[in-house]
Amino acid sequence: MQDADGQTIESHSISAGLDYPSVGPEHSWLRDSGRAEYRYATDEQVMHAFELLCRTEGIIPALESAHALAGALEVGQELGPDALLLVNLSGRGDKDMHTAAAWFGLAGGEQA
Amino acid sequence: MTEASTPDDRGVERVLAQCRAEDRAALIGYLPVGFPTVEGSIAAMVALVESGVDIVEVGVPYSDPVMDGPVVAAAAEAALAGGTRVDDLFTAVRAVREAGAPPVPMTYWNLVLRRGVERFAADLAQAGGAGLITPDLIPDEAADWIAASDRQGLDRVFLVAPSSTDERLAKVTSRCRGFVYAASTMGVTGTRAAVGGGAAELVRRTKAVTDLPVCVGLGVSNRAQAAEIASYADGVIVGSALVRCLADARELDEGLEALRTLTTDLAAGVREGR
Repeated sequence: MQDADGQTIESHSISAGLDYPSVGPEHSWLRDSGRAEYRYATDEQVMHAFELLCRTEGIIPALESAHALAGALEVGQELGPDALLLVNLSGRGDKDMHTAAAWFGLAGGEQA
Repeated sequence: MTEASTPDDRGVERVLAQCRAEDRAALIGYLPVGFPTVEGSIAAMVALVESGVDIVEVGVPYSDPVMDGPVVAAAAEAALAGGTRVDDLFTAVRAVREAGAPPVPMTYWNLVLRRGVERFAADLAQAGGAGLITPDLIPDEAADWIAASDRQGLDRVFLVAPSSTDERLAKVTSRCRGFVYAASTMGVTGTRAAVGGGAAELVRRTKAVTDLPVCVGLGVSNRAQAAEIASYADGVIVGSALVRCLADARELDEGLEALRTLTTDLAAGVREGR
């Protein structure tokens, strides 16, 4: 992301690994060539998906991966109950406990 | 500006040859556009020229200044927060040229890419710029810039570092025009108590593969260091120490006074190294 001069525009994401104002060339190419479709997820959608996987499967996803889960929830609703979805859960979320605790108000006096 | 202009017309080659004839190193001073304000930075650059800087390295503030240490990075951040635009570079370049020194902007590459390499080169030539120092552009990926700078008769200053192999030095310097920027140490800009002994060795290895002048930057802050580097290099590049004069001042006039004092001292330094 850049302004008219080419200066970087600051980004924000609840996921530190995605808080970067750029996109890698492979993703850009896959999108431009039409081989992949890309969606975004808001912090709210991500944390909802994060909580859902924790509660239903006992798996704590990384916040980066929780973006994919949020996308899967959307795609699943669009394709219906017979669809078969494969989600790449690319990382584990124990590293994100402090962020999640702050988000869900479980961090005592240390809310972000 | 016509396409017939040659790099000689831009002054860098002439100034460095003159310094060599005087058996001294050139003094190259860096300041970023827009710090503390656009007008203030231009006044500061003119003060540099009046106080003995031979070439002005006009910095373009950038949001991701990967080669800069804390002093220059903070100045760039302040300049951007103050609304400095890439267009202001060309205003500064004009002022430096009118003051009588060749302006050689140092810019991170994305700003050039965004404007368009061809357009940037044309605007720079039009403003009286001598060329560009490009810290994050390697010659291997510089085909567009090499073509555009050839067309506009602009100098191309790529960087070499102590980690550069002899083969790499030969390749990088073969794409340079004007001078070669030798980074004295592996690291970012900023004053250092001692410039690494690796700088002399790097200059020696660079001069073994090119006839271009080799100028040393990173870490030079005082007269003694300037003299030491002047003993083996064709030019001494000073940045952070100059920026600090402006950063530490309560008001612009005080900063300009400090800048003149330091520049005069450094100009003496580059004349006593040999």
